Amino acid sequence: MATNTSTAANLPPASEALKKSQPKSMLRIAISQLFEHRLAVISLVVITLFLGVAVFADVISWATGIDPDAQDIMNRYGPWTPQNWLGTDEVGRDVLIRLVYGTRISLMVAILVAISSTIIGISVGAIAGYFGGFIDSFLMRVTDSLLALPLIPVLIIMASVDHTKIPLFSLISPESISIVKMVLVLLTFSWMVQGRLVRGEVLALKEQEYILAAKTSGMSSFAIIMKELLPNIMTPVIVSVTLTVGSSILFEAALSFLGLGIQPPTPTWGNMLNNAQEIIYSAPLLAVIPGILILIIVISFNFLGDGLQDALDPKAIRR
Amino acid sequence: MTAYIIRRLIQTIIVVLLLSFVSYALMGLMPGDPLDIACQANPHCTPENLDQMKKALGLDQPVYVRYFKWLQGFMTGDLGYSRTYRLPITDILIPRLINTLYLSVTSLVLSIIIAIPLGVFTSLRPNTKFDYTLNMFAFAGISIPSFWLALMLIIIFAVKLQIFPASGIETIGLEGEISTFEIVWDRINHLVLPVTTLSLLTVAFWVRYTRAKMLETMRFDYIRTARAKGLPESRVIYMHGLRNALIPVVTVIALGFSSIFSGAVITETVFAYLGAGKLIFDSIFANDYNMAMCSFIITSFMVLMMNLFADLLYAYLDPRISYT
Amino acid sequence: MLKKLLLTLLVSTVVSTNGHALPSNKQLTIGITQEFENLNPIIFSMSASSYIYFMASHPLVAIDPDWKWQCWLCTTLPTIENGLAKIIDEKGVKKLHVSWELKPTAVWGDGQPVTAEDVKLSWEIGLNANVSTPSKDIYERIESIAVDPKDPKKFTMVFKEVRYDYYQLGSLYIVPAHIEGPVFAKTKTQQGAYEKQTTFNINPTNPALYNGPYIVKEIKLGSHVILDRNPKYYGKKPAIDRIIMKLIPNTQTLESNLMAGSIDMISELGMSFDQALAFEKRVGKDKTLQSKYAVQYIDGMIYEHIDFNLRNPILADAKVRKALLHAVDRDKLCEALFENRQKKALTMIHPRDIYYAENVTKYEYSQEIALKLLEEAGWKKASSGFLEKDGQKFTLNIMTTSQNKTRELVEVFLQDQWKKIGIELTINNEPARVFFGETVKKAAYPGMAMYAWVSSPDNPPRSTLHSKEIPTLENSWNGQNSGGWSNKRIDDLLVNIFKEFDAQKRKVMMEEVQKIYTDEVPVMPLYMRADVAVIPANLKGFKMPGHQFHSTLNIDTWSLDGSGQGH
Repeated sequence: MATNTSTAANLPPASEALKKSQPKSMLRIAISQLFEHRLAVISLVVITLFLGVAVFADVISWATGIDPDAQDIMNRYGPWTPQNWLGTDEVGRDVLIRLVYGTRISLMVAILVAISSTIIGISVGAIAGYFGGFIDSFLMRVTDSLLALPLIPVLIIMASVDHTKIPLFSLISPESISIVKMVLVLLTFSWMVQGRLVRGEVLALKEQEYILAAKTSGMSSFAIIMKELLPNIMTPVIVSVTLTVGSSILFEAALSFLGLGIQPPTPTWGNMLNNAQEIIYSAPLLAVIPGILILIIVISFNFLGDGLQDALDPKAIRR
Repeated sequence: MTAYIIRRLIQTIIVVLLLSFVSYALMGLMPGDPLDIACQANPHCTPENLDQMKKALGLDQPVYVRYFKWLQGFMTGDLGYSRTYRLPITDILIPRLINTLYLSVTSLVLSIIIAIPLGVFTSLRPNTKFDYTLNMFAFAGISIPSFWLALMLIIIFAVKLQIFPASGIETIGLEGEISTFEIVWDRINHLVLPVTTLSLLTVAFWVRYTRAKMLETMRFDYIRTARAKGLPESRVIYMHGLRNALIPVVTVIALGFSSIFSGAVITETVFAYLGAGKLIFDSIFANDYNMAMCSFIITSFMVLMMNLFADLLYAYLDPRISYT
Repeated sequence: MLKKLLLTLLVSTVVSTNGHALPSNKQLTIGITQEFENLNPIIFSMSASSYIYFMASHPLVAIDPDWKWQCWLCTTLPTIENGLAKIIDEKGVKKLHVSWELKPTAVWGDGQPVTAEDVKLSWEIGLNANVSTPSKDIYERIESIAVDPKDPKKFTMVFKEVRYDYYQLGSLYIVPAHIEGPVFAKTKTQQGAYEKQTTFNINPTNPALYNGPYIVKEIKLGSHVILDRNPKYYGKKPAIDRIIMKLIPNTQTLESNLMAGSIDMISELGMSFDQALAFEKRVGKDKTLQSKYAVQYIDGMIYEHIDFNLRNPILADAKVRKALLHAVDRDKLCEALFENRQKKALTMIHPRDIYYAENVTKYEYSQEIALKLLEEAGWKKASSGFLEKDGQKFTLNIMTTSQNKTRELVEVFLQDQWKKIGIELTINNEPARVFFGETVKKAAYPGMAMYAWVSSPDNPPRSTLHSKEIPTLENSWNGQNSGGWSNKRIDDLLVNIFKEFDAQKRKVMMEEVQKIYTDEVPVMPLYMRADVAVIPANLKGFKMPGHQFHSTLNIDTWSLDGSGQGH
């Protein structure tokens, strides 16, 4: 590992001046660190590729002239052809383009969950850590309790609730309702890790001189949290976001696989797998490919998280 | 210490109570009222009949009243009946829980036996080829969708190679025809694939965790002191390093029980393994609310108790934690 | 890396073959995907329970695989002609008296004879308000049962109504009075107590509970049932020593079990249709599979159809309904999705049924006719390519059960077909519990609902077509005429047909019902569902009936050729 980084990282963020200059140099260091983590770089490329596919799904569909919903009922479970690179599915839709759109939905759900759970996690963690006392112990008990639950059974119960019995849900269009529901269900159980993490960081930081200085200068608590604390705890949070994306993809796939996830005809990797498992011996690729895609994308996010951790965490540098 | 334990116990019980209420209310939000469906099947069921039936079962009351009634029954050991099977809940649930325990405990023990030595071993040779390879596998283990892995294992080992049975807990209809040893062997055979599925994640996670903790510990000053004192390296590693590194690892293992129990739902479903997790899943789909409630609460309670145990263990093992 | 490993494993294992042998008469393991209950026939409500029950016990009467009602525990089917059924005038009220005689050799598994007392007790249990049965109708039709004082095998039933279908007592199952009598006496006054105390729950392996070719050796709910030959069985000795029923809810795991040899056959309550087609194709291509399995289909009594919600103003117009029917190429549907294993339906009556009528209005596939009819109804092609009327786009909604792949496929097909003539179809599927428990029951679907009616042979469709069967708030949503069709002539025909004892005249009446039905198109017929089973190649005497009296009712004809080595 590069020696120059270790000295920089070991400096405590004690003075105002250093704090200001820190982000830039830290960023540069972090990037150079990250690029030393070969797997993380490869993963970043893979993720970018998948994101590109997700964002440009419509363009891909337009360019290839293949509509993900266009069926050819006379060509079910069709083999490889120059038009259908991966063959066709149970109603003769092109498998490849459905995987492309599946990428979009699966990634969208996972990223939405990761971002919104981070927002909740930061809010809860920052409030608990900054104010301490009763609020802290209350919020942390809630967090601990949620963290302790057996996740899959709870998710199954949540996912099987009839959304029509929940008033606000009637406003959402039926096509997207299962997506919204999935995001909400996953969100409920994924913010706690970030919450605890942020609280720990805030607890450590709030006794720092510059925070105390800000307090005495009469800054409001909100401003201190937003301007002084948050920028300094973003690094572990970013790592945690990447890891949450990975685990959300896994949970979405698992629930869709159990039939409690996003409903067809909206394609996701999970429900494509669910659809394919019955004919796994006749058309094994239909089940194998989504599984491998899930594996690739989740492992990429995990590698990236690991790389970021190494790059951003001063302690890890000493390895 | 005693005060701490009592406080945590009370907390756990409150969580279980809250959880049971929330899930009770959520189950009420699940589609399809079982009574309506039963009434629909009977051409002579009138609105009066239905009201009468609802009244008889107390379904006309608000949800919290029904919940307290249910809780009362639950507390006094009267778990009621399963609607699908028309049998007392305990008759069905207890054997299922035992099956899940077999599965979970086997996975847990296996994971410990594999993960900890591997983690320690690799931590002693960081950044070697072996370390990298193991790291890759560990990452794959965390990232693989377990249901997909289960499907693939069935295809490869049950259908193609026919080494292990595809599903179930034992070969049916062999009782009295084979020896006890063969019965045990048969059961073990049935456990191989589900245990593999279930253990992979924990093994992968623990290998990484043990390795990280071990590396961290070996950097501490007291290790340097021990080395400086001229102690043999093996003694430094095992007496000083490992002992301290294992404290957090032990608690993570206790927590691992929770994730194994939770993951068992999917594993049991794919392998048609008659456990408590599959029971929760099946009873939700079969509208068997009472069954689903009881199995869910009891499973959750066991998991929460394991968490409590993990916390207590940590507090006990790590002298730095005070019990206030 | 792991991926590579898995792929290599996959590739390397594709070449290896299955090594297990064909089953022998020693044991047959059958896989099912549906849950079963304990085997008290008065209480159970699931098909899988009756599937298993028929191996262990026979009902009084049942329909045979040729769709004729036959005696199973009785000696002669009573008819007016043979004098065993008589219409008797009791103070101006006509009543039907039917005399039955049980098979003299019929005994329970403990050797006790099956008697008229057993029948009487079973009827009393079913009638009791504290016992929940899937339907009380069959018990309530009977006014009284009188046991012949001279012959315990003989009894007379009095029916409240004079109806021709008195002999259709298929779900009058019989439990042994010497076992269940004391239990019922203790529990009859308490709601739900009998269901819990019945010997079928407490001691299900008591051989005295069963009178069929097999007795239950072991039953584990949610898992399996083991049935052994009943040594006291009075009929022909079945060839197979032991039957094991294994419940495997996941269809994919079920097929894996078959391939791995841990089950020998998949019953008609097992595979999904799509899966069966795929499996059959594989069997066709692979010689080793061919030597092991045979895939069998049989047309079933399950009528897949679309209910038009006639309260919807668009669908209230018969011309629109006819146009919708003309615009769908149902032959192509059956060919593309079912490879013609499931056939197009003309009406709710199955071609094998005695009431089947050829002379009905048929709707061949024609976009021109459809468009012409729609134009007459005021729908014109707009610039958008969709049909419009008074500036409104022609858009309809269809609902069905989610998680049912076949139905989802059909929806997708319909969407495509109707789009071709400018109709937009939106799809909104719900889990079966909501769909049947709320939507269909309360006719809460805005446009169309696709599902199936399960019928039995020789059964006029009164419950689905009579206007009294329209579910409303007033009748607490009881009734299956969910679309809301009301036709005076149909109502009359469906009431009178039950009073008609001349089969020929009934056939004429049913012809008229079908004619009106196809003229008005209150329901869109799709196809008749088929049952499918995968059996070991050496299984002989297996015949699926295609109705609710499953293949297992004739299990004593099954045998496995000796070529197999057993397990």
